[in-house]
Amino acid sequence: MTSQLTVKDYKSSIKPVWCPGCGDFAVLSSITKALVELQLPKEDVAVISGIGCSSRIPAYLDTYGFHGVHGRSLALATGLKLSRPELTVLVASGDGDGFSIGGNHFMHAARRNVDLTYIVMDNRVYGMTKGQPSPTTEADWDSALTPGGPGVRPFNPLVIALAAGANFVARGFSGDVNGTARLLVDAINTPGFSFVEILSPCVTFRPDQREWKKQVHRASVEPTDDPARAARRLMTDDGLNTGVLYAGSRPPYQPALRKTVDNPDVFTKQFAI
Amino acid sequence: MTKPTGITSVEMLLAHVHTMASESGERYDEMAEQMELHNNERAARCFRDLNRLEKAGLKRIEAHIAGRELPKLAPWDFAWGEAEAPCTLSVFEVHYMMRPHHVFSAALKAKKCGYGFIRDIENSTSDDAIRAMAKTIADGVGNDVRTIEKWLLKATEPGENWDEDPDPPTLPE
Repeated sequence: MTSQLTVKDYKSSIKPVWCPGCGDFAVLSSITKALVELQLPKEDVAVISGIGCSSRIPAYLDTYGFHGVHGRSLALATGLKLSRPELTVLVASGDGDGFSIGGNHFMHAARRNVDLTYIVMDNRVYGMTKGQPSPTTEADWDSALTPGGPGVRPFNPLVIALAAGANFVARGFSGDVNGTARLLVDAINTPGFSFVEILSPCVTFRPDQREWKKQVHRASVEPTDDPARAARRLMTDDGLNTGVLYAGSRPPYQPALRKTVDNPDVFTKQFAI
Repeated sequence: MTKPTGITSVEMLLAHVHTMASESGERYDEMAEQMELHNNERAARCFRDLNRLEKAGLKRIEAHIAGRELPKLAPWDFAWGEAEAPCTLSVFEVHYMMRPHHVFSAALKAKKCGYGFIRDIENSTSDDAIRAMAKTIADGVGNDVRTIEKWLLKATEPGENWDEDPDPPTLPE
């Protein structure tokens, strides 16, 4: 009998450098708990990220990982999944990396519906670069860098994911480690593009988000497979309810693999100028 | 905290308390690492002490587990009634400049929560074997509560400006 993989097995020896109290510690814990639950062999999992505090996650996991360029994690992950469909590919991002710099990739990844699990740790601020507002920052968030607030309506990532065709749309809260682990298991198990927004407080630049612990609540309605119903629910979304919003059954995009080329001369001829 | 339900056997009880002790110990270990990374050696030492206390508790529980097969539960199947196991200190409870007094105050609150969880099982079950095991475990956790209380008494209460940082991370460059 093979022994069960534990949380420790999925963690690397690199210690996280996040600020103490950061929600991303809890997200790391939820990811490892989800992997334990699924008992996925470490060599069959790849975690791809962009840039930002949350994008450090691949280094803290003992799976395959790629810390890519800003906003381009989904492009990398799509290429990886299409060429190595047997892998479970998780993509980690933040609200700046995922919705601003990588906003275009987000829409098209949802549209393509490649079998990826996209985890966005949303703290509504650019923490790594010292507190600039991100696409999900509230219009009236007053700070030293944005006196009076950015004055711009925030972006609702769940609306975009649903409208663009994501097959699984959910929201979690880092303070609910076990509940978020469950969402991630469901997201990984659902074929196609799964999007999980995780509210993850930035205690340094958004100390007000410590209040999320009291404000976040589980959604009172069951998930639906009807996008119209899910869309109607989003019309009254307070941004702080958690759970699965939508779980569909659209088949993922996975073209047939071309025959592997093992002779480098083929490439030499193909790319000769 | 809601009353624990679903603890229908000694094995189920042991599965719960084992997870409580191991997750709590792991969290203290992670917090010690966070403090070390932020050059807060005093708080790191406190978290290490708490980790050792949890490990000792875990050993006591493992002695009760010997020879039994525990049910396998998913993290969300435990009867915590809260987001995490009751002894586990929330990731949000820490600050990079926290003092030993903060560490032990938070740990005491978490430990008392865990103690309450097990006492509730002891007081609400109609099964004699579960009650006896819950009492044994709760007595051990009660000793841990007193240990943390002693540590807290020794820790100096921090002044009002304990978190004043002359070079705060929020300072724009």
